[in-house]
Amino acid sequence: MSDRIQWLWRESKRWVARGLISEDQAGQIRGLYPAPKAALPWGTIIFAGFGAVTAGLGIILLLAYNWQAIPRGGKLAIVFAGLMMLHGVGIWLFQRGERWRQAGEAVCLLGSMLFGSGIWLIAQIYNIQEHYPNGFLIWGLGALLLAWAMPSLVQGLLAVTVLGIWGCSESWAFEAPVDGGLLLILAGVGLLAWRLRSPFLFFFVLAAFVITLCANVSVLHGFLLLRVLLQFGTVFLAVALLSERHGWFAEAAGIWKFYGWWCFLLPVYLLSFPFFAERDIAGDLSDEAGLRLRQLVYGWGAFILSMLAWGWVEWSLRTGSARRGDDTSDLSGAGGARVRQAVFPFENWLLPLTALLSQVLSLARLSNYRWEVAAVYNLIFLALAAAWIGRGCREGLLRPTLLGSLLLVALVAARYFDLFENLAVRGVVFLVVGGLLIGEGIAFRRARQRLQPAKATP
Amino acid sequence: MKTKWIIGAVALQVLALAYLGGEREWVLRTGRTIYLRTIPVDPRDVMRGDYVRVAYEMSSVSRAQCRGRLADRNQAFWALPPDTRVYARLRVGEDEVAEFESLSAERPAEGVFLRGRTERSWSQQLDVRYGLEALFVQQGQGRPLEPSWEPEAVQVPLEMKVALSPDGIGVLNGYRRSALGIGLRLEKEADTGSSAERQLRTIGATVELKNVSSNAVAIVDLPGGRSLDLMVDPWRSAENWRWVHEAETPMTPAPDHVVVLKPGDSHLIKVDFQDAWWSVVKKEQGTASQARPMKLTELTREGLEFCLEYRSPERAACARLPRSELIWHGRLRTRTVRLWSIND
Repeated sequence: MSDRIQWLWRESKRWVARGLISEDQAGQIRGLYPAPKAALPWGTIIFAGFGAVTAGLGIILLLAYNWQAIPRGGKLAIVFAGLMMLHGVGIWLFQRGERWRQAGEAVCLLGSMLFGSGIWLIAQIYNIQEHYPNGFLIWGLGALLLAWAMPSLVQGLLAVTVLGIWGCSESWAFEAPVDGGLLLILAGVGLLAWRLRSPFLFFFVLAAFVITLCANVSVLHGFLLLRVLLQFGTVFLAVALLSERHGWFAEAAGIWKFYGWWCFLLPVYLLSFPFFAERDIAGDLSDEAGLRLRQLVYGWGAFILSMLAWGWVEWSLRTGSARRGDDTSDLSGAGGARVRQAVFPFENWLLPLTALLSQVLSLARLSNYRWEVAAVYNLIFLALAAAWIGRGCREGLLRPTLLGSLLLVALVAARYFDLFENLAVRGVVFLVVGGLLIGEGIAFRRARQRLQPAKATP
Repeated sequence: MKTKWIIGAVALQVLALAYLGGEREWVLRTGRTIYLRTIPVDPRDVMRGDYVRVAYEMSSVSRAQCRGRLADRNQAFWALPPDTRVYARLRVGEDEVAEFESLSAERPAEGVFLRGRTERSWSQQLDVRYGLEALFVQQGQGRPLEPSWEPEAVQVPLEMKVALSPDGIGVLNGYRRSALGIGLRLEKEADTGSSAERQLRTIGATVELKNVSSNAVAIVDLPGGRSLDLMVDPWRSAENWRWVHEAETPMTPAPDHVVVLKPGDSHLIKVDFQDAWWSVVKKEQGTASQARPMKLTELTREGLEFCLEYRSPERAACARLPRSELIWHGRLRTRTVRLWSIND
């Protein structure tokens, strides 16, 4: 139970005792704020998980010693008997009831760890030196199957970690990116996170997806990386908005936003440097047909996804379709514009606009205009910072004010090194930015003061 | 119902492991046993943790050794898709020792062959992995398998015991030592007439062939060190050199060239690098340029690294020689050395 609910329950008893309200009224008030559902037993999950992983590593190391005294059959028997015993005990505990469920999951996790180590141990027994990422793929699929069958969060975590390693090792170690790996992570484990309604698992799903995406694209062609990442960032943010608005796995909307903003802001910031902008615009497609096709699929696929996602956002706002009971569902008409601005800040349109601009810039042959291209990204970054600061100061919101200020400072710091070489210019720029920040502080305080009485008024 | 799904998922995990091990176990039990000679590997690359890395002659294949579409010179090796499936055709000789014949991307219709996959390769040199490059041993047991760190020590290559299935899957099943070992001693002199007094140049070498088996073994020592080939290491040499007699047919052996070695005996082959036979020429784009062949002793401070390879004559050429049944067949490569070194 959260601290606030506890406080309400405690205080409501005092109010009844003082005769301020009746017991019935206290019950009605408490009924307005029900205690949230019991949280996941994180202590059990974390300790059981760590225990399983550590014990699994112990088994791996013991067998990895590769005792020659143990015959081949003995080693195989240890692997198979251990695997079946652990899963057997785990399933038995898992079925015994809610109380033993986590213990059962932990033992089955240990079983899946042994399954993974078994792949390498059998490779050791038979001196197999095949394409090693296949081992990660088999391991990840085994854990994923069990994660769906149980269903189990920890098995899902193991699966997404191992499948992420598989995708990255195919790309970085063999320069053979597997495009299906991205789908497997998103559909295979992402849907499991949705089924379990677990933002925690979904956080790792998107982490694995983004890292594998970076690995794939960097191998196909480095120049694509920033643009594809930027466009996927805009896709994630569109999905976050749709998810919040329609209540589709709304618990994960924050995760979509987190990765969306990182994937968007980091490339835009890097592209504000002429060094990166030049690489973005100078990248030619490969002469090799297969590679060229994949470069086109990544380059255009991300852009098309972005446009479709933002088209959907716009359609959703125009038609006012939203989850049932949402008081912001009707955004049409003049009155709706204010509400629309509140639920969907207009600066968000910078995101699809940037995706479109980056695609256009990549098509235009602007190799000799690196500073001009970088200037576009500087302006986008600056516009976003200004919009956030403006909205924060206008509405007395700390987060956009602070984030906008950080973006502004980061941009000025970057240009300090490559644009403002003259000390006098640097001085002027710092004076202007300093002045802006002070003005922003004053505006923010005034907005808070103005809104304070309004908030206090019923 | 849920329990059935869970048990099904666990069963699939067990089956995956069973298939992985079962396939190899089947090859071990039913496959044909052959031995593959390893190339002495530079000690720096050999031991990594608890497995011994080994390389074979067929691990690095030239265009001339390729057949089928791999032999097409218009297709550079580096343009091959990664992990392309290839087949090494083998000829199995005495003692079940297999020798590499050719490499193709097409599966041979008959004969003995080993399945492999291409590694990252260069234009005309194809590196191949057969899944037989790592021998796992108990922790701490790998040291004795390492080549000696002593520069002049005799190196005895391993012969890997491989179970081979009819469709080319090879499973390592142990190892044995080769009957012959090879060592190399360099003859050097200080460079005169230059300011760099610490530089030493190699003017000759002595190759030692030693019978390390418990039976008598014969070798063929052609006059003037003609039983040896000079192999320039292209990856460690500053310029693209090649030996002028590369890929030439060796001379026919005569009865007095046969040397029988009792167990523990050694035979020394002296090589004089001032002899024009040991000349090298720069090659460009895989073909010899018009550059003049140069003796090794004429090269001044070239960053050239090389090794010498003892190559026994073909079986047919040895058939009429005395004690031909004792003649050791195969190739033995010395460690790789630098032509110039620093006198410390």
